[in-house]
Amino acid sequence: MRWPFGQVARKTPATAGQCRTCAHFDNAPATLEAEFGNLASMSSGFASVRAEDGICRARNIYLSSRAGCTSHHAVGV
Amino acid sequence: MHATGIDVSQTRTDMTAITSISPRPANSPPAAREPGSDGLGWSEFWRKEDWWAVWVGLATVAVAYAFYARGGSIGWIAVSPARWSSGDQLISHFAANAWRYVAQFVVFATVFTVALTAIGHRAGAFLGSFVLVYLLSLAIFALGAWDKAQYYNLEPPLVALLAGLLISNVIGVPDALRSGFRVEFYVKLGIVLLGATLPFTLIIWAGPVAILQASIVSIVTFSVIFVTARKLGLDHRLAATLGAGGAVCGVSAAIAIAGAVRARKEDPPIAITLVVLWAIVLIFALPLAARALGLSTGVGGAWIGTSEFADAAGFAAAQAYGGLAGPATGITGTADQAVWSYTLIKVVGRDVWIGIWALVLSIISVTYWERSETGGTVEYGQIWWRFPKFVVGFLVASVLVTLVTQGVSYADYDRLVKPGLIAPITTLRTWAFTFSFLSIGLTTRFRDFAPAGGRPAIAFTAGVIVNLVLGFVLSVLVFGQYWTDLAR
Repeated sequence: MRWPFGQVARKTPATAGQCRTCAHFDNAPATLEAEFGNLASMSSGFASVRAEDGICRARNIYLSSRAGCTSHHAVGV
Repeated sequence: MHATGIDVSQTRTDMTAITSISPRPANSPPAAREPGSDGLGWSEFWRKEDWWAVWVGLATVAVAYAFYARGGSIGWIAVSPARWSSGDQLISHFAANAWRYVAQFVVFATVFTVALTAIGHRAGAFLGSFVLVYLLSLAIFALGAWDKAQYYNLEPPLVALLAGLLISNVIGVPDALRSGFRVEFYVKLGIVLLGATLPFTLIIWAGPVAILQASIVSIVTFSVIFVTARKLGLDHRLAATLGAGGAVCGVSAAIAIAGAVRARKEDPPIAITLVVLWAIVLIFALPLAARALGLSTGVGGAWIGTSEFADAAGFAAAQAYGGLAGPATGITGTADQAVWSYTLIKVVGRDVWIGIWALVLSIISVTYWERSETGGTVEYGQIWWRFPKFVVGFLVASVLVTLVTQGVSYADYDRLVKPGLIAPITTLRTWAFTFSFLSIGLTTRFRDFAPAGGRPAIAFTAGVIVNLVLGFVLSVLVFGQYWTDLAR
């Protein structure tokens, strides 16, 4: 099946791992609530809308666990 | 430069740096990872707060119906302070119902502990904290039942919020006692229970107008914030995060969009600060303005639903405004109408579209804002991943109760269904909302606010102003009669 924007989707290098398996990626809900002050006062780190997003400690960005980059560093490696 | 020393006009992460990122040093602590973050899959059903709110809410409705169907009621456990005019009356009430309150606390504590430990909280920490939440909520409930409460403007949602803010910021709460302050879990549970008291036919009837009104306001507000932020030189992704926070569902939207567009780590706290500050202002300002304008409860609730940001904040304002209805204030309509019109606009009209917003903005982000960055996939599944699942519980509860009460005459509904089934669920819903309103105050610490900086504040405030004015025009001038007649 070919999706619209399929070309965009192919931008991810085939060899790049996803953030969810990267040692730089931090997405524990409690950590995010502690890091983003007052997040829990009107939302939650445990909410569905957050999906599995987290912080890339290497690049200091907040992104989906399904993202990835060429600097992926597999957990335990 | 921004107040934190971060240049918020920075347009993109420096991708040349990507190849030079060092592997995590061997002696550094491992990044904290959500259990099973290799894809939640089915485990989302027991690891996300939204689903636990659905399970607990629907189980409550099922148990309530089971009792009702056998000629009984869960009214014994759904106890709350009765209206009182003297201290003796209040003391008598508590003396006569002490065991009911003990049993209620045990049930709440047990069920919530199971739910919250399943998603990662520690049982002991939660229980200790929940004792505080329950006792404070009981005191607020009792104060709200005072026959002079309305005269002195002691609306329970506003009292709960103020008490929480005071305790958190003046007296202080030890971190060990904070586990029970779960604003979102309580409000989501309250929304599922609310579904059981809102006829599904009403959702079908009013839903399209709610979606139309909310969509107009959301798109206009987002555009105003985004364009203003860009004109002020802010980064696309911060602009989008701010815009979603003001236009869709507050902090939840800001955090969802920040992840979808790969915002800098500093962006979500800026949006959180602005959303929470404005939301708290509007909790008090919107009911006051609606009262000054003499709006009916249905119209006031619709305006609040259109112009408030976070669900919990809006429910506090809508419930407070509904509580003002009556001959003493001259506000027409019922308390339920304020909460219902608010819910239709906010939950049905705005919240459910967060996945669509995230998808659209992630497409724009990947194709235009960060074309040179790697990892730019468009995830269509996020429409569902980010969907606020408690809405499923809200709709299912509404359908269930509508089906089981189908064919019941108005007389029998008032005589049997209301006291036996609907009233106890409504009382439990009010408890859940009170826990949530109190928790807003208890979790909001002014010292934790990130310095937002002038330009984000200007952009966001521009959106707030447009949102308020447009929300008023649509709720009062365009659809006013519609919201006044809601469920009449």
